[in-house]
Amino acid sequence: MKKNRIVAGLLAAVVSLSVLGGCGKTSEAPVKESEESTQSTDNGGEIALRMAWWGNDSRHQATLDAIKSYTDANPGVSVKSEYNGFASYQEKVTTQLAGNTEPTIMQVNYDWFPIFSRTGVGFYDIYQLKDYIDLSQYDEEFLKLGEIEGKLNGIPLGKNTLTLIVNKSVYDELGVQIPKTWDDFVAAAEKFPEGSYPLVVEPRLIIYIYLQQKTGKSLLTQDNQLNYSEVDYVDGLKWYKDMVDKGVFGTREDYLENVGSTYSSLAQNQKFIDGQYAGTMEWSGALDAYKQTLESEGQELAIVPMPQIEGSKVSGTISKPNMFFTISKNAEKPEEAAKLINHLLNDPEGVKLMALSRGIPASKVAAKTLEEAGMAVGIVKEATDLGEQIVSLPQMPNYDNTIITETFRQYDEAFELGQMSLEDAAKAIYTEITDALSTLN
Amino acid sequence: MKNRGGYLYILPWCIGVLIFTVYPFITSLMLSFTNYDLINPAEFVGLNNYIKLLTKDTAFLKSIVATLQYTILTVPMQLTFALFIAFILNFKIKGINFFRSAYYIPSILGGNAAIAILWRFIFRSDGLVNQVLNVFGIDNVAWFSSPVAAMFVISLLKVWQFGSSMLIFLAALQEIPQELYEASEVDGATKLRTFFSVTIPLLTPTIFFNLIMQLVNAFQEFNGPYLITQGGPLKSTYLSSMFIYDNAFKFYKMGYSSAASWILFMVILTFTLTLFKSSSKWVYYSDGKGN
Repeated sequence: MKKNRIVAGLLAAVVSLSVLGGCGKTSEAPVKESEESTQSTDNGGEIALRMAWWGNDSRHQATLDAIKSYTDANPGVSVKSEYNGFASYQEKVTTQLAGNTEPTIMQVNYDWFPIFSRTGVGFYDIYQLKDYIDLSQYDEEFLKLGEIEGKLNGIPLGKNTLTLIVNKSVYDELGVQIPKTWDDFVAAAEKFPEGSYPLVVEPRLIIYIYLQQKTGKSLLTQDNQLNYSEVDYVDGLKWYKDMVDKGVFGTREDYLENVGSTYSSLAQNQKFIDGQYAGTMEWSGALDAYKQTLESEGQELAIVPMPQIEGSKVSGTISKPNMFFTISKNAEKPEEAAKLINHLLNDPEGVKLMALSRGIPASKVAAKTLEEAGMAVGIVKEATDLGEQIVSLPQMPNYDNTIITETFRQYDEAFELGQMSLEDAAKAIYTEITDALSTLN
Repeated sequence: MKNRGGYLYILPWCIGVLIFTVYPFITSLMLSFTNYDLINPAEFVGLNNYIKLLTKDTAFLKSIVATLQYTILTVPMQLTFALFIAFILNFKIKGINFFRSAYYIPSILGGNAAIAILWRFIFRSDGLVNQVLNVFGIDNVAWFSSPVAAMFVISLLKVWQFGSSMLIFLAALQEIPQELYEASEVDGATKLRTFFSVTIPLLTPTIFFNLIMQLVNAFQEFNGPYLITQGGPLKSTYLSSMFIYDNAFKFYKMGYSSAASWILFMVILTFTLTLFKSSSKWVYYSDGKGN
């Protein structure tokens, strides 16, 4: 019947329309870790606040407990908590900010500032609230990392340092000392069976550490220009590939087969659990997951101080503020939000409940409180202390910008898989990052 | 007058379409002529996004090529497979309902995160697939680091979800009048001849319908590459939908990404219209007027 055809046509038309609505399955896919939840401590108070953060279950619980201790003491205040995993959090907050429906207090990542608050007016200026938040607890230089054009957009909660970790049990079994220098790593790699590697790391980050040591400069200048030349990139990529050939770093093929095209945590990876990936590099705040994985396998994790290349100009690895608390620019009662933040970050009661859920706190009184209570222990503390002993150069927020990281990933992959020559890859990375930076400023 | 109640029944659907399809549809068209990062106000740039996408952006053109490869690879395989299984399930076998449900299960599971992780697990270097290959004396295949193999892996996930096409084929197969089969048997036609001369011609409207639906679906595929290969290696499985997603939610180029989805829409529309045009040549409608 003719009707059949018309119906089929209409149906097909509707289905093809959905590509434009961003419909299809697009919107439900990126929820890998979206245990999205809300919890309200509504006690009929007239001051209603909303607070949003990302994290894992232990961070959620610690934060909820700390917020509850505040609302218990301040019956006039009720707080609605909105929390989920990292992957879907940024998308959620971005759309909320775009629609002016954002929470009063938001946990924000360092590299989001250039997007959310290019000229410093995207968030409430916390300097205006210094009567409610004790800013004197923060190192002045460190606090300034949350400043954009003279306005304090966010309070940095702590410092994240890139740290090398190795599976000590693997070394014990092979009868090899844990390496201290890159030469030690090369020597150790010879003892590793095929398919096993001393380190599996994200090329971009280890190459930036190498270039930082070589040049004494971090990736970007204060006004967002590239500090490294094309020659530096050639040198960095060559060094990395050389280490891959010597068996220190895992091959790209192996990573693609067993982890993926993009870089992600290895804490739950089968090859890490099996000891075939005998080490990696991770932000200090995220080390606990690795330690727990190995402990449940009866193995031991050890931190390795970052090796120095010959003629190194700075000792440091890369460090950055781990995350910020910000206040919405549309907040009706910003001072109430500030009081809650002060309770979570600087009040001994809140601090003890927050514990190490966001790393070792940058607030002096918080660090002291946890120290005295014997709560500042474990691998995160160890890594943070190690990070304090070395010089680390300040990173600009854009060093982690997705366009820039993706550019690097793409050409490094082509180079490592032999699709591009060393010179072409370095040139493409250098030119395209320079271009991208010019559109970001 | 008596029809008014009917409108009430379709009202929820209409509201849904207006809010979730028509509104985004119009908005994305307007956004495609702007630079918009979600936070700062949109800035009108005319046709710049389209010009850049079509003339300068090799990543986008590559993603369109990858999408075409993916579509050409998956749609015929999926339809053939769906028809084959539907044909078998059309026989009167004991416990047929169990098999019919069992074959539909992959479509329910679809490309969700758990399946994607399972897929990664069975194709990893010492995963199940390679172990089986080893038993037959075949060397390990690098499923995720070779562009061709990676495309094959995500295509397989798509073909595996043949259930809905299969059900539609099954329903159509049962519609075919028994007399026609009897007549061809009397005429001494072989089983194969009957299949190609009786079954297939009568199925063409259904084949056409499934073809359009699967084609449109394949062009929009996102879950497989996003969850399993993340578009790699070397962007070989970086389909257009991933390009659109990355530009919108990773790079915050909403306008650019909207323009890319409009180009993809045009590509899909062209394919669909061409198929509709061609249908008069090969689709048989039993009213006899289907020219």
